[in-house]
Amino acid sequence: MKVPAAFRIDFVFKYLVPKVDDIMNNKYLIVCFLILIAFDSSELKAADWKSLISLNGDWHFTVGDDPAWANPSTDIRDWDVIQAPRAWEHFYEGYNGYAWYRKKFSLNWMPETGMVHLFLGTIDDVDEVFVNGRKVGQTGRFYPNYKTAYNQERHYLVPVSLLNRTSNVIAVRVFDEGRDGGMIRADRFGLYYDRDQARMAIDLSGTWKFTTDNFGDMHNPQTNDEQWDDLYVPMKWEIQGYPDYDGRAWYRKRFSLPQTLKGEELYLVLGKIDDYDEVYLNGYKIGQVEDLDTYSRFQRSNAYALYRIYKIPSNLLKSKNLLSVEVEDTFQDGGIYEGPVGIMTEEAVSAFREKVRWEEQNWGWNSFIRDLIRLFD
Amino acid sequence: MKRQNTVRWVASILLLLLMAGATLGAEPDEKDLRGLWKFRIGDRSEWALPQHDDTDWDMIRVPARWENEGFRGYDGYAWYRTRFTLGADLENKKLTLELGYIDDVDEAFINGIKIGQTGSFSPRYETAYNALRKYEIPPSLIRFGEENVLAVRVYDSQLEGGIVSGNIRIYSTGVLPPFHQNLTGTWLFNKGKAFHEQDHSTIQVPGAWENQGYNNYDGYAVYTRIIQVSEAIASQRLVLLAGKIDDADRVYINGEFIGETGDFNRRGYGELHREFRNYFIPPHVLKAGKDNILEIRVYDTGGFGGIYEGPVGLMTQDKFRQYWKSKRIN
Repeated sequence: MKVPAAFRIDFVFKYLVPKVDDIMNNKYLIVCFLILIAFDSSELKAADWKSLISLNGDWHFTVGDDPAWANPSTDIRDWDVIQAPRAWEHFYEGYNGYAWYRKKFSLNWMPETGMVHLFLGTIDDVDEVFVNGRKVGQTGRFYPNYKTAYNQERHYLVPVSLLNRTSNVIAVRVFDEGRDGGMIRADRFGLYYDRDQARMAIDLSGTWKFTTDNFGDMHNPQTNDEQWDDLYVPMKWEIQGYPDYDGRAWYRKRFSLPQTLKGEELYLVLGKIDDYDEVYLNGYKIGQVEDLDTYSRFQRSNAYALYRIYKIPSNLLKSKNLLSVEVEDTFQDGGIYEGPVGIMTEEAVSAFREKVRWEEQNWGWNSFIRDLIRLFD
Repeated sequence: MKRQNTVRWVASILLLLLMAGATLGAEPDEKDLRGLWKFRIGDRSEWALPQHDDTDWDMIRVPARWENEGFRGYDGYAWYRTRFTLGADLENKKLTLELGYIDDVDEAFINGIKIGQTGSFSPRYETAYNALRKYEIPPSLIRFGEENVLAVRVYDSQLEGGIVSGNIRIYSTGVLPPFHQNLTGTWLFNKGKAFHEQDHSTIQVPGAWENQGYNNYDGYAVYTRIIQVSEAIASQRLVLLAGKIDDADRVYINGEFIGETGDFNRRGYGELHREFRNYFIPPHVLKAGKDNILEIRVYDTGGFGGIYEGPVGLMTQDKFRQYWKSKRIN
């Protein structure tokens, strides 16, 4: 559902190319400059990233494939050391097939709960990532149903509970069919924390229950979810074992309410959802995307870009709660795909809304059009 | 002025020396095979055998057209034979036999075993007079430090004939990969999408099939090889190096899918015919003590087709990892 890139190109061709004739015109240059500022760092603006550790530099490396290499205690003294991100052809000329990367790291700081984000840039063609021996994600598909993902940025979630301060091991299994292979390039290459997640009174990022099968009565807390899958939130489902799934899916998360929050006005924040959602708390519906002020039924296909913030009716909250979310994805990426995710107090939510509003006004489309109008006025 | 000339002289001589040194240094280990060979017109299969007595054969210069060597106007079959010895310096090296240009069709044997063919003999005669002959030699065929026999069967349909020109030599192209089984050599071959047990012929690997009697064939074909391994090997992780294949391929062992490269099903994505194939075989896919059917199913979209470049062979993953680590650059 992410179309702005196409929009951008459309725009450049429609409005800017005709102006190449009078390239000496200063306004043309200013427009180019505006485009650069408006869109250059749009990805970075989407969340407020704090770097926890950079993984640039030396990695242990071997060609071949063995599931035992995911285990941090496996002896890797006979492995080579190469630098990443960089195509492995730079060291292993002409190599195609499986290879593994491993790196040890420690952390100066980490959040107490929830998830941190792992960015590994572009990996050619398919990869599977393990942190301290546990699989955290996969992009593309290995044999027998091979599918390349060489043009996707790798973005995974790592539960904080999997990490420690002193000694962690990340292992990356890569398969390359031909030409460049490995962790070839990256803007962000390491572990990051979404600062917005720190605004939460209750952090709900992490492992949720998930299913794409409709067993009926899906929002009733009595409906059994033991057989449901475990899925990381916020992260699109495509890279978590549902590579080509479009349609309806159900998410569930259990949480308890601390004494200190009893009686407070609270808001549920579900980040961004691709495409539509209905939200239930303890079996009662508390909102859907159509209820949001920012939602427009004339731009229904833009729903994926809206932050979900729903007020929680105070009488619904108990000490143990079940949150259930129905998501419908119409095309490509799907699910609760971007944070922050959790419960905020009224004070925190207004600060967060203010920040979102400021960002919307000061980058991307809006700022670009506004500045453009001013320029030609 | 004079002084400058001297400097120029010295500089150019130094440069020449340097260049000579560089070329000598870059010369790969090789055995020159040019010279006088045994020659006989006619065609008998036992002439390939090393024990065949060729003392009463004619002598002929190689390379040269046989018309200039006393066989004016001869068209048809003839055999060449020569003996050579390779020193220990070429042992454990990847060896290639180069036979220059042969008019029209040839088939080469070392110690009685066929190592390559270019063009096609009758009944489906096809000339390959303008193709450079290069055959990878399965290393197990060579007896190092002893005498080996090279026999070349040639068919010429008209005009000049024989091993006519070019470099005639055995040379090394680097260290031999540490194969458990080198699979260079004769494979079973049939057109179509799977191995035909009843209806197949043989082919040399590596080598484009266009040079081996399948000129202008594009489409699906299957290379098959029966392999046996011990329990000690079958229980390990193995890697099949399948060289370079034009254009796409899928590998099966005993009917089980192992892996694929390129656009075998014509879904229309990138060309990978210049890429080396490494296929990873989990433990116990190959059955110990049994005939295992290794199939490489190939799809060629046009031009040359097949397993056209080595190395081709089977090795343990442990050896494979060391091999690649030892080849590291930078």
